[in-house]
Amino acid sequence: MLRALNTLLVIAVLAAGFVIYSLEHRTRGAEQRIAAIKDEMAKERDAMKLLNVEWSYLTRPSRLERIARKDLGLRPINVLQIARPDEVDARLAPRPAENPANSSKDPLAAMLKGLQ
Amino acid sequence: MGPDERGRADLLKGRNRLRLVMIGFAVCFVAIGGRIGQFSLLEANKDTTARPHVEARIPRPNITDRHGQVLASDLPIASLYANPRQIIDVDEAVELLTSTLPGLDAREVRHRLTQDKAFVWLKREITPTQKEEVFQLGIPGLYFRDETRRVYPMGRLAAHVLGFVDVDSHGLAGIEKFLDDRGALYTASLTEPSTDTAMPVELSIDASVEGAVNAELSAAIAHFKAKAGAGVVLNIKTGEVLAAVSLPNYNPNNPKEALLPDRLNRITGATYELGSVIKAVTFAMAFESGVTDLNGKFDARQPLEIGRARIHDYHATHRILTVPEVFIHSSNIGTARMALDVGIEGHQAFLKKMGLFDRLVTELPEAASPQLPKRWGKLTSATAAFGHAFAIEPLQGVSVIGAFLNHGLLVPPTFLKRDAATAKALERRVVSEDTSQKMRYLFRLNVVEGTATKADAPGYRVGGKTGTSEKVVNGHYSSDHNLNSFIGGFPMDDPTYAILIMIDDPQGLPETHGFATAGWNAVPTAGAIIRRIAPLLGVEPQLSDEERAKLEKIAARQAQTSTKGN
Repeated sequence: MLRALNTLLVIAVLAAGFVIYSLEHRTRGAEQRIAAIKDEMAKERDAMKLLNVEWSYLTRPSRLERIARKDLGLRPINVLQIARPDEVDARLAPRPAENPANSSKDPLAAMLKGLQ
Repeated sequence: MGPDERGRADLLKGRNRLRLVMIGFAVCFVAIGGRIGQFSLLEANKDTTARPHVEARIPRPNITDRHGQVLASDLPIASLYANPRQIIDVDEAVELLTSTLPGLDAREVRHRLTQDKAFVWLKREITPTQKEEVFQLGIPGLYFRDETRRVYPMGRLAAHVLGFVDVDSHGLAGIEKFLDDRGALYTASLTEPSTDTAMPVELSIDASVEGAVNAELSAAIAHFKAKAGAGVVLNIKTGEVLAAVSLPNYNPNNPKEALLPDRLNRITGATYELGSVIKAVTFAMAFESGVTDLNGKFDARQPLEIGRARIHDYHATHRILTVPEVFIHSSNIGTARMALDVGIEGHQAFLKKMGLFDRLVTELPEAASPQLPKRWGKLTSATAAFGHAFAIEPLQGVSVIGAFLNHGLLVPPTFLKRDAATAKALERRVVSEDTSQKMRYLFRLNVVEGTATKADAPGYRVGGKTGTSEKVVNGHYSSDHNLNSFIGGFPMDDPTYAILIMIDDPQGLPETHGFATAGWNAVPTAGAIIRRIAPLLGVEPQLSDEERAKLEKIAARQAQTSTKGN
């Protein structure tokens, strides 16, 4: 009876020892991963900082103004270029009236005819 | 006693000892078990780990504009040092280093590397690419030290608001100084100690508005050959400063430049006589105290005599002026009479109420105290009414006049982003709605038909008041050197933004017919700025048919000339 109990206890101790050891091993692994990820995060944060600074440097108003004027031909907005939604219709150039005679025919043929 | 009996007694004795040992062990185990249970169950959440006390380094927060654009940031940067004792081939090391880092002097490097020391600096603050290149050289005995450096990616933009730091990252001016001194608590509230990061400091500045003001103002200074200039755009409903430009400025990446004498902060760090702009304060006072209203009349037929002094008008009219005429002709005589009607005590009390006797406190450490007359007599009151001997910070002026336009509510100006609720809690009524309405009428009238017509940005309902004050040269007012200013607001039907433009000593030009008063330089500059920033700020234009026709004509003419040019 006592011998059986002892054997059982020895097995239990071994099993517990194994479980604890493997748990600790896993914990160490997890800790290493955490450290690596934290390191990565710090690096990413530094990279983000650098990129944000670079973005800010590249989008500084004086540079944007210069290249928008030179390369895109843009100018500061004229008040005439701003329209409210209800004004849009009145401000658009009148659309050419649809000619029912033309639209029924082949448009390409009409164009060719016009060229001749 | 037989042997048998003795054996029994021994056995009994042995059993008793064994029992005692077992009881002893049991007590020990129960005690240990109990303690473990106590720790793990009852005190589980109590953090009793002994930790060394570490003085946490507070990371310096980034500074951004109101839309999150980075204006200042700490960047990691490496510095190169060497241990000369570990260097095997000095000649090779010198040759490789000088070819990789162009700024290095070969003789100096050789001298440093042949010393019998364990540590010599080779180059402070090298770029990440240079670090990589030096690393690739594979010279033993070279090491890097990681440091941080404060960089300002937008360079000169908003330099006077940002300020700058010294080599140890201590703020020496502007918001940077505020973060270390008065705002240290605020700075600490932004940090997250566990992650060693900090939330950015959000300024009220809008980088694109700041850029537009900067571009137009520097163009104006160059055009009118002026010495200096300043520009402020203020949101009068929240007190936020959207743009604050003081020219000439400096590059905070190169703080030495900031020490030059003409680089002072002209917005809060100095006081100026804003001249006739101050008349707006006198008008508000006269309306508020009830001595006159828009139908009142003032005699400007001849100079006003007080004792031995005579007060003249710059644009002399020699007639009796109505109150709106006094404003749009900027009559010194009329304004002085207005102040005399209110009385000396009333005048002083009103200025006190506006906070014009006190130093304006914002986040910026550069704050100049207003210089107002110490002793007040009849003459002082009369001249102060039109801005003589009345020097204040430009920001203070635009803030008070902004309050007149903003339904009489004064919101203290700030350089940090502020939400509407906070602004609401801070606002203070300084004049009545009725007075504010009259002021708005006069400001708009002055742009439509007064001294500030060139400030008009069609569609954006601008109102404003000009000021030309003679500068004090060698202790006397000089008629050749002016300080010109314009303070205005837009859109006038519900003023949201106030603008101040100040140009120091502009010259008369052929196209201004030789005139150098504010109406010819500060005012058109303000107009050009408003035309550019109003769309950025989302102010909806409202054009009358007349204005539209006029603008379309101009646009058509421009289109014609440009096609001719092609």
